Amino acid sequence: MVDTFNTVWLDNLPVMARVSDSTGACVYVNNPWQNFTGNVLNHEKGDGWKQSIHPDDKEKYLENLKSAIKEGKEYSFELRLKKKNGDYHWFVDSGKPLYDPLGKYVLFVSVYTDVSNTKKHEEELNSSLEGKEVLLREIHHRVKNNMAVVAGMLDLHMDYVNSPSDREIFLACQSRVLSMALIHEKLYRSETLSKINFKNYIEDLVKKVRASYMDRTGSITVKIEADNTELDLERAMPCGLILNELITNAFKHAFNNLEKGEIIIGFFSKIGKYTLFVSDNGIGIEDDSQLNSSATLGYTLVAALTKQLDAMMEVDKTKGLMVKFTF
Amino acid sequence: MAKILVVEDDMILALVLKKNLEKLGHTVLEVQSSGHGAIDAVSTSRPDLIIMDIKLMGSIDGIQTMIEIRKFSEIPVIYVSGNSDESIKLKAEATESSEFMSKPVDLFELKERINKALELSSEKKK
Repeated sequence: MVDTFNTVWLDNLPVMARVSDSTGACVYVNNPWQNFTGNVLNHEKGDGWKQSIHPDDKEKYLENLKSAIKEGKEYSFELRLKKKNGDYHWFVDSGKPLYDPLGKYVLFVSVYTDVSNTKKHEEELNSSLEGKEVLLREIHHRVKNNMAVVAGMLDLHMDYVNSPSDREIFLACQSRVLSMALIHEKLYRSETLSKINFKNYIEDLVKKVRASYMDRTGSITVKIEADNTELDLERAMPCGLILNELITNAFKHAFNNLEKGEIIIGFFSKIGKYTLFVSDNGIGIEDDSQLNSSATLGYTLVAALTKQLDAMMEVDKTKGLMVKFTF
Repeated sequence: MAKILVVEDDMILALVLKKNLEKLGHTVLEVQSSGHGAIDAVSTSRPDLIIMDIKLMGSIDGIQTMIEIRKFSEIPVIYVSGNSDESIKLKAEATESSEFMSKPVDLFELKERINKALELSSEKKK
């Protein structure tokens, strides 16, 4: 089946090669194959060659090979083969059917390329990436914990502050730190370590802000209208801080003298554009200058963060107040 | 109101916790930063409730500490952890009479959890 001419060029190939008939039985292995495995041709013929396949790869590889030979299709599979010294090397087996002059499929030639070094580098790279991922996760965890400590210190400091307006400043600072800490908490739990599910973040942020202003939030309901868009760290941080300011502001001022109120927070993305809004059905504001006022740190921060996001801010005072950002 | 043992390795967070617990009307008997310290404190101070961090100073963590405490006490415990992975929560739940909270601690949630833990504990004793 494999004539002398063919065995000569097969034996002179710089890679290992094996030839099987159309039933899948091995009819020839070249010299490089015999040198690598330490097995002679007669041993490898038929099913003998299969003894060199790594036990973990055997079942899947042979199954794939069988169907490729049956269908007479070219293929490329990875497997480990045993060297004569007992070591296993990784190979890529590339196979191709050969046809006789009448177009009848008669043989299958499989060429084995040693990719052990590439595999080793790949494994080292993966292991190094895994290590870096663990480290990054740990850093986000620690940043979050350290921010919780900062928030804790502000909490302790509040005991030494008598003026209610000064206490508000401490509370606002604490809330800002916690809104940033929450981003890191979400990041270290995220799969990618670079993006977070922002809807999930909004839900938790609302709980935290509500807890900070517990005495004023009892009759206020909060509705979140958001899709499951993920947001990267660069945008999540300013968005989180903006939301913290607007939600806090709504809880504190939007429903003065009103028995109940509703805050709606929206976040969604469409064709690469994000929309974020906070609206309330409260008493509203008299004029836009309040929003542009540099007298309140909250709105100064919102203006700065809007710029950072390269976002467009729109204000609607038709009913209560709605502040919308598109970026 | 309850007598509480706080087990926390971060002393700033322990101070905040102590302050908030006192704000809720409870008494913090002592603050321990290690598992072995906590085990001794449960035997000597006899608190009504433990608030336990998972990561502690010393050789045993909060869950292992509770496994040791369970050998001689059914005291309720509220775990407060910076890591709320499901596997850790499951291990914590296995120590019985436990509640689990993530850091940073929400005062409102803490109040609810303490009430729940104390109620369950008094029902058990009846």
